[in-house]
Amino acid sequence: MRVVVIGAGVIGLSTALCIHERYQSVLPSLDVRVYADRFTPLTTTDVAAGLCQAYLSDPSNPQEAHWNQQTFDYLLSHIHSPNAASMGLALISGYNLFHETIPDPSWKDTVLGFRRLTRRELDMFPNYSYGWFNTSLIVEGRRYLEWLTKRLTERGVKFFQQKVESFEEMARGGADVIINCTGVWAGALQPDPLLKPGRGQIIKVDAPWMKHFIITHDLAKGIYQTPYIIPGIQTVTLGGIFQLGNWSEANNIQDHNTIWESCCSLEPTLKDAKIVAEFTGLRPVRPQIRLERERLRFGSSNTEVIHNYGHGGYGLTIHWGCAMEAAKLFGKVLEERKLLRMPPPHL
Amino acid sequence: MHQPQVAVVGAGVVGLSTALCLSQLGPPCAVTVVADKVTPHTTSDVAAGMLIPHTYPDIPISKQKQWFRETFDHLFAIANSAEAEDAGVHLVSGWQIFRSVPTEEVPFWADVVLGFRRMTEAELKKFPQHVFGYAFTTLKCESSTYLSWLEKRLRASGVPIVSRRLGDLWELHPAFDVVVNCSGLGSRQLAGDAEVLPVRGQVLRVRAPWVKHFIREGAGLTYVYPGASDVVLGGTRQEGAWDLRPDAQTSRDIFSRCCALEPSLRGAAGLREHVGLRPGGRGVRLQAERVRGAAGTLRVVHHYGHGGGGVAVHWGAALEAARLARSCAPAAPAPPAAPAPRL
Repeated sequence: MRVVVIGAGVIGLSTALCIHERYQSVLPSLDVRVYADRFTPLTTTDVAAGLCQAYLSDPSNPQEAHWNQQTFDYLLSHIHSPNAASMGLALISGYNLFHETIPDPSWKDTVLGFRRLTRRELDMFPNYSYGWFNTSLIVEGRRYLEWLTKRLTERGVKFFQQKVESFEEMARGGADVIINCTGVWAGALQPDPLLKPGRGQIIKVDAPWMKHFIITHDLAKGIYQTPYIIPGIQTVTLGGIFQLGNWSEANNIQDHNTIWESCCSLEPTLKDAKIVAEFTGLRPVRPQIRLERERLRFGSSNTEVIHNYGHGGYGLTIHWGCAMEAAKLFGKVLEERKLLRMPPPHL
Repeated sequence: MHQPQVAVVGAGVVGLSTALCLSQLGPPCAVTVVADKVTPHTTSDVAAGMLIPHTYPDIPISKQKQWFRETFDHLFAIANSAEAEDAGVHLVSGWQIFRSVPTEEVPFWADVVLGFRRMTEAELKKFPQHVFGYAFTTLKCESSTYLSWLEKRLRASGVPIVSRRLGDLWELHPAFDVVVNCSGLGSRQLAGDAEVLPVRGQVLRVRAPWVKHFIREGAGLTYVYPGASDVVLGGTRQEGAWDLRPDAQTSRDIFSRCCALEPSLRGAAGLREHVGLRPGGRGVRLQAERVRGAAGTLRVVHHYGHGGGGVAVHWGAALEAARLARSCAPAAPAPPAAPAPRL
C-alpha cells in the first residue's frame, strides 16, 4: 500500500505521521512517502507565529471546532515532556484586545484560564476598551516541522524534493492513495475557486523580555489586519497583514512600515528591539477546510485522493485534528479494500 | 543656603532607590552613595526580582501593602514605557501552587498584582502534585539591569557613587548631615544590630527561553522565574549560613525540585550558580536615630532588613526613608564658606 503525501508543511507532515502511527502495525506493507517542492524552512508553516488560537467566530463547518480542540489537547499533553522545547512547544499567556464588548469565543473552555481583562490591564492599551486574557500554546512552525521530520525519518518514511505536476503522475508512479496537503497551491493540481492566498508578512525581532502575546482585533477589518505580537521560543513575531488574493511572496516595504509602526504603538518597549528577520507567507484561505475523499480514475485503476488543504491562518491551530480525520478517511479506504487484518487502533 | 549633605550607605536596590528618591525630593539636598560593593556584586544582583512580597512580622500589613503598591505602580509604569528594556522591568504571568489548600484565603497583595484569581482545574492538571493555586500577572525587576539603570539615573542627577568600605558610620561624620544606612547585612556591624542574620539563598540561572510563566511553590522555597535573558531557579533559605560559595549538592536539589514543577527544564542550557545572603533575621528597620558620641551627633536613618522581600517593596520603602531622612536634616544653614565634604 503506497501512500504519497504531497506537501511538507505542518498539514502534510502531521498527516503522514498520524497515518503511519495508526496503521503501520496493522498494515506491514504500508509505504508512506512525502513529496514536496518546499521543505522547512521554506514552507508556509515556517512563517507562521505558531500561536494556537482559532478564529473568533464559529467556523462554518462545526467539525473544525472539534479539530481545534483535539489539536490543543494533543499539544497540551506534550507540554510536560522533556521534548516540549524540541517540538517547538511552549505555554504562553496573553491578551486579545477589542474596541468594543464582544461575546466570549466558543473556544473559551479549550484554552486555559480564560477571563476578561480588568480595568488596570486595559489601561496598558489606551486604544482598546475590552479584552480577554488566557493561556494558550505556541507551536513554532520550524521546530515542529523538524521534529515531525525526525519522527517520520525514524519510521522509515522517505522524502522526495520534487514539484508534483499532477495526481496522475503520482498514480502512474504507483501511489495507491494520495494525501493532498498542498496548501495555497492546491489549485495547480485541481482547480479550486474557493481557495485564495491570504498574504501575510511578519517581522521577527529580538525582544526576550516579552512573555505575553498581544493580539488586536478590529471587527470591521477582519482577522490578521491589525497588529499582533506573538513571542516565540527565541524571537518575537510582529504581524498584522492579510491581503486576500495577493500572490506576492516578496517582502513589501509599506507592509513592513505598517507592521512596525502599529506594533510599536501597541507595545512601546519594542522600539529598541533588534530586527532579526522578515518573511512573507501565503495563508491558504478557504471558506472551510477541504478535508474529504475523492476517487480518481487513471487508466484502469482507481486512486484515492484525500484532500487536506485550505487551513487559512489556523493550520497549526487545527493540524492534529485534521490529521486524525484524514487518517480516519484513510482507514475507510483500507476497510473498503479489505486490507486490514484487524480493526484499526482507536485513538 | 547650605544644602544638607546626605550619605546613603549601600548600593543594592534599597540604597540606590533611596538615594534616587532623596535626589528627587524637595527641598534639594546633596546626596552621595557610599558602598563597598556595586552591581553586579551586591546581594540584590542574585535576586530574581519578582514582585511578590514577603510578609514582615512586625510591620502593619497596611504599611507593607502600601510599600508594595507604590513599588508595583512605579515599576508598572516603567514596564509599559520605552525605558522598560533599559530598566530591566517586564510583566510576567504565572502560578503560585500549593500541595494543600492554604489557610489564608487570599494574600494581602492580591489586588495589587494584575488579574489575580484561583487556578482552574484544567490549569492545575499541569501540576499533578498540587491541589490549589493562584494565577496572576506581576512584574519582574531584573536586578542587575535595574541596578545599572538606577546608577545611570543617579549619575545623571549628580549623585556620585563612591567606592568605600566603612568600618563605622561615624566615618561619615561630620562631612554628612544625615546618614541613610541601607547596608543590608552590613548593618550587623554598622548598626551594631546582632539580630540581622544572613538567610542564604542559592539560585541557578539557566537558558530556557520557552519558559514564559513563573511558578512559585507554596511559601516560595521552590520557584521558576523567567527573565529576559535567563530563568532563575531556586532556592534555599538557610538561616545563619554565611558561605557565598555555591554548593553542588544544593544545586542538584534545586534543579530537581524545579524540574518536578517544569519538566521541560531538563532541556535547559548554560547553568550558572549564584549565592546571596538575604539581610534577614528581623524585619525591615525603617527608623531615624540620633547617636551621640564624642565627636558630636550622628543623624542616622536606618533602612535595612528587607530579607527576601527587598525588590518587592523597595520603591515604597525608599520614598518613606527619603522623607524621613529629609525631615532629619538640620534646619540651620552651615556657614557659607564651609568646605565641600571630603571622604
